[in-house]
Amino acid sequence: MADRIRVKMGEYKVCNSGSVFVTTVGSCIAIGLIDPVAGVGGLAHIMLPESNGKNDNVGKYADTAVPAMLKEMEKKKAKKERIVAKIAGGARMFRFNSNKMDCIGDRNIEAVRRILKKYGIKIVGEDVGKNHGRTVEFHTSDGKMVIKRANRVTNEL
Amino acid sequence: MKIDLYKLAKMNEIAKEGARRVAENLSAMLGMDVEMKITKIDFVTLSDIPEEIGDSEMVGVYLMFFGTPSGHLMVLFPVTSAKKVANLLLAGIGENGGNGENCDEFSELDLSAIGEIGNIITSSFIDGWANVLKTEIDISTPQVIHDMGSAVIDPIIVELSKEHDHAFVFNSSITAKDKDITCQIYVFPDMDKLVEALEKL
Repeated sequence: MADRIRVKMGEYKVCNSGSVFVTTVGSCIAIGLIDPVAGVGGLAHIMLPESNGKNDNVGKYADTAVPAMLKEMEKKKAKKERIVAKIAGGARMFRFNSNKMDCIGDRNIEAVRRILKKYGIKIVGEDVGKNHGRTVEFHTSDGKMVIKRANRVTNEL
Repeated sequence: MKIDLYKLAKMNEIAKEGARRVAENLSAMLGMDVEMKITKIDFVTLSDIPEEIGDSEMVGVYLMFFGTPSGHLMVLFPVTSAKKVANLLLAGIGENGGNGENCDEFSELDLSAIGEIGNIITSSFIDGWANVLKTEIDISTPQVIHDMGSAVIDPIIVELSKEHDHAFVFNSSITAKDKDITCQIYVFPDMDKLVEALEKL
């Protein structure tokens, strides 16, 4: 069985050994990237859209995590033109919409779409928005993304 | 930021005072003995907290507080404890009528009852602080989130992460032994303002 490796909030991981990366997101977004030909995949758990020039913690922001992950995948012989993305998360965690910070999920979705487009990466599957958390399993062997909610499978991308 | 030992001791004192008041008020409200088990202050890497909390189902009440200090607070109930609290408060009211401890779903009434408990816990805690610090602190209306634990805490962590990767957290654990009810309280004060308030003592 493939290794299951946990990706923490604000982290990203890349491998070419077929590991399954696992993370749980609320308003954050899990970005899975895969080059199925090279067998290289990665998963990022970004927390915020923009780094605004900060480069201390690249996995934390959408605009720094995506290029960092692409670079590492290319080092492992992935080809950018073959890499595709699946994304999950960006929920509005509050039931009442009285709070301005609640928009962070929406802003994350918008930023992730824009940044992937900027790098020419096509999104081939997504499960975003709504108002619940998601546990995301990303299979780097074939790019399958399994989304669970409180241990029940809810979606497969 | 410099914090001397004297201030840390003082901070410990306000944490304990907050916790003591929570236990007192909850005991009265739930009509049972409620105990504050741990009260500690930690300096943490924010992204570690969701991992510690894990993915089991929980109900969280999120509140912000404003004044000196301001900050964020979350009361986190394991799902079974949340259900028991709702049933205790709503005994004989609505469709629940004190049954359904095993049921996964929470009605609007359940969630608002849990929100109210969160409100009381927060007010008690913050009153304890305001008392020691001799300041005034207001609290926001409660937001109730029912989800996987790490997703419940997500909004606070993301909000705090906009400024910092690390934070001080006051962490307390509450238990009502008779009914096997537990909850965790996480308080993230704005440290600059807290230190400012301590300076004035």
